[in-house]
Amino acid sequence: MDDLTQLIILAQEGDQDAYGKIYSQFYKRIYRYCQFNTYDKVVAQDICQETFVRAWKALPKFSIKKGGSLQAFLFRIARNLIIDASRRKKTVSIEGYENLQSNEDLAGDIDRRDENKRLKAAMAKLNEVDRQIIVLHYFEEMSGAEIAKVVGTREGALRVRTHRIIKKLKDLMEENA
Amino acid sequence: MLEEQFNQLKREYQETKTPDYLIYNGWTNVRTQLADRRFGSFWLIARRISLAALFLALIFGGVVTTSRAAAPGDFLYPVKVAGENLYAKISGDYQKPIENRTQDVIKSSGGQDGNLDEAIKQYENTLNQSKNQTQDQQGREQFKTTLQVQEEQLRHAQEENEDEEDRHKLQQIIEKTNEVQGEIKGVKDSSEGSHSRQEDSHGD
Repeated sequence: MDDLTQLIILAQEGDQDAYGKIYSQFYKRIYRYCQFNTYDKVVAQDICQETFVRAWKALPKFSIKKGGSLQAFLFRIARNLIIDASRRKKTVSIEGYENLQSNEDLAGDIDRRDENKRLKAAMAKLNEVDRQIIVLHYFEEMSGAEIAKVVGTREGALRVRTHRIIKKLKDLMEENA
Repeated sequence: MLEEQFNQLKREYQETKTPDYLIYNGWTNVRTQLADRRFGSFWLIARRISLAALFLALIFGGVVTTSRAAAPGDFLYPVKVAGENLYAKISGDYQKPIENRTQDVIKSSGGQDGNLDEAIKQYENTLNQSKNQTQDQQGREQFKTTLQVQEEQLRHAQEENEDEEDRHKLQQIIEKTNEVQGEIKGVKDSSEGSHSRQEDSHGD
């Protein structure tokens, strides 16, 4: 039994210290995922915290034996909260993607920064599920099974869908070129 | 080309700076909002109790089912006897256990199956328990009839048994059966006066 599995079992039984260790392992990833999808640091922070509060409540129903992935479990909760937040906000702003501050010093690399901007703009035009598939596959490097659990689709359909999304993104970027 | 752009954006994504608040206060804030679950959630406990109860029921059911074939002296024979006596206590029907114990004695005496001493011991126990439970008139009548039938079967088994020791043991148990019948008649006498005195004369 690996360390994470042990922590999960302890947390399910009510061990908050064990859950704290799980929090430490995942909170930065959940935060960056929230920030990328909400383009608002404060909202991202709130959603990140709320993700872990809700995950704690739902944890007793989570089962590793039935093939459960904790990261898929956490990202699914985060995604649902992001969707709720975006419904309250009502609009998805392309400018939001463009204005995301980057930790990377791109001052000396205008071309790369522009390319990132174009890709983000193209991603903003995808529907929400397609966008999540790209983020989870390319940026979070999740497996097909995990992505399927997060977005609520069949794993078998993901590969074909991903190819279609890539093609669409290429078309969108050529339009914006 | 697109893959290269993905890699660039991926690097930007993965280097997203986490706010200091989350780093230094995030967990403390989350912890204050966690419900106390030290003793397990209701569903977790309920699930565990249900599984434990199911497991015990399966084990018990398996043991009871297997014990039905047990003969006197077998490891599960006391389980079989206890199960039948429990059934009798709940249902009030002692005829079945008495009949079964009689058959156990008969089979054991013929050397067919089981330990005769154990069979006799359980027969006597069941006899005593049954006797104490028969309180009403109808119950006593039925019990008396049952004992008469068992006594006949035991006598028959005794006649067919060639082993002297076994015949002696069977005689003892026949006498015990007779004795209990007499006790039942005695109880009836005390409640019915002259009518039971006539039955006594027939029984002699």
